[in-house]
Amino acid sequence: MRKTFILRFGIIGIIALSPVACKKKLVTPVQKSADSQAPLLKSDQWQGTEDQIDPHMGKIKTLD
Amino acid sequence: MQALTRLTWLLVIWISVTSCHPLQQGSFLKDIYSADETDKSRRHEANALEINWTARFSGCSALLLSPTLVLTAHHCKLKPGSKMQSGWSVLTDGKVDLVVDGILEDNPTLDYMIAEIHWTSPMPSAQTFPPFIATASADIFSSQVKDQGERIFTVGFPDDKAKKWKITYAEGQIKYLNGSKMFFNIGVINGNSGGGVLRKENNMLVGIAIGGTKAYQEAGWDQNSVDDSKSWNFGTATWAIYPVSPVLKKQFPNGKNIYFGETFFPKTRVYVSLKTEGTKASLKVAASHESDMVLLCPKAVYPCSKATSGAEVLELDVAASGRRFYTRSKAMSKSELDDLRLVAFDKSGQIIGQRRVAVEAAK
Repeated sequence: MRKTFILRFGIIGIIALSPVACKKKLVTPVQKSADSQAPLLKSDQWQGTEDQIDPHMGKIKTLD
Repeated sequence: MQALTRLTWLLVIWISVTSCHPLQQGSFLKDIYSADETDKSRRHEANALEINWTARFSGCSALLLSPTLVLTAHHCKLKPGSKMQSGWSVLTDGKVDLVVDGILEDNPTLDYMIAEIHWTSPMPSAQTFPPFIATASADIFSSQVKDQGERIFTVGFPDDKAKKWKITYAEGQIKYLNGSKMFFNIGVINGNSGGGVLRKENNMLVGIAIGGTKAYQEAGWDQNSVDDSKSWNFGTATWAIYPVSPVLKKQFPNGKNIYFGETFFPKTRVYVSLKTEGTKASLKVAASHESDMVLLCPKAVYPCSKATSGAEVLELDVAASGRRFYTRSKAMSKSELDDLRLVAFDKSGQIIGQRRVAVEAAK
């Protein structure tokens, strides 16, 4: 009885831990790419992804 | 003893079932960010223009490359005869309007698939396709620094919004590259798989949404920060696909979509910064890293060239964060600010962007 129990427990354990039953979650080490070494702008600088103008000058209006 | 054995058996089975989360076929994408509930700039229901960047089929998303070609993920298992809906059809509660005729390319390693399709009803007039494809990693800028990295977006059908929004627009930034994979902080989840990832600056196709680290409704799936590298999702980069894809090479020779012929599409947006120092107004201009020169055109000619009389070359100030910044040392006059004409060129001398603006005086 005890041998059967241990055998069954072992089989279930192997199945549960096998790659078939449990595909590993993707874990990719975070590596810095060469691009990320490029010069960066400070967060308080103009990022160049939208217009900016001194408010007292007025507003920028796109014409084309 | 028998009761104890049964209890142990139940415990073992329960542990074996709950200890892992097998990836579901057709819904490989994981992880998302909850910020969209308060900040609609990262995720929102796609508008009438944005819906044209996607198509739906059996739990996945896809991107049309031309009226007869569709790109999606390999794990989405598109087959000949598969039925799809364009973004327009989904938005208008229409029927199936696309049918797959055949699979042209199917690559499990890079997890992409290209299929030939036909329309079962007239193609929507607003249907759009990417004008460019990234053929090299140098075409984009990635950065793990907060708020840095190329702005990109995908449009698709994430499971968490299936009952709330018809189609979901999601954007983020490219954080880093690793082999054929591009890691980004766009909030994508199961159902986004196969959707095109496009550069916001010029709608350049840069990848396909593929996977992440958590599944929809898995503990913590919507509690991640966009700045946490452990939460970043990924896609296959197009520069990894392009060299092995005869279809992409044919459709995008030199990276440009032949569907549009000679039609001009800007590669960069041109942004303007105007500051005052005392009574003088100074001009700064920003364009993408593809730019090599920016001209300030005379009023009579637009767009102008370097040879145009009166055209002024702006000085390159700095190249940083994937952008190039140009300045004019001379102060701007009032009449110049009334009609500012700017043209950006690449290294080969081709125009890649232009902008005409005026300063409307404050009231």
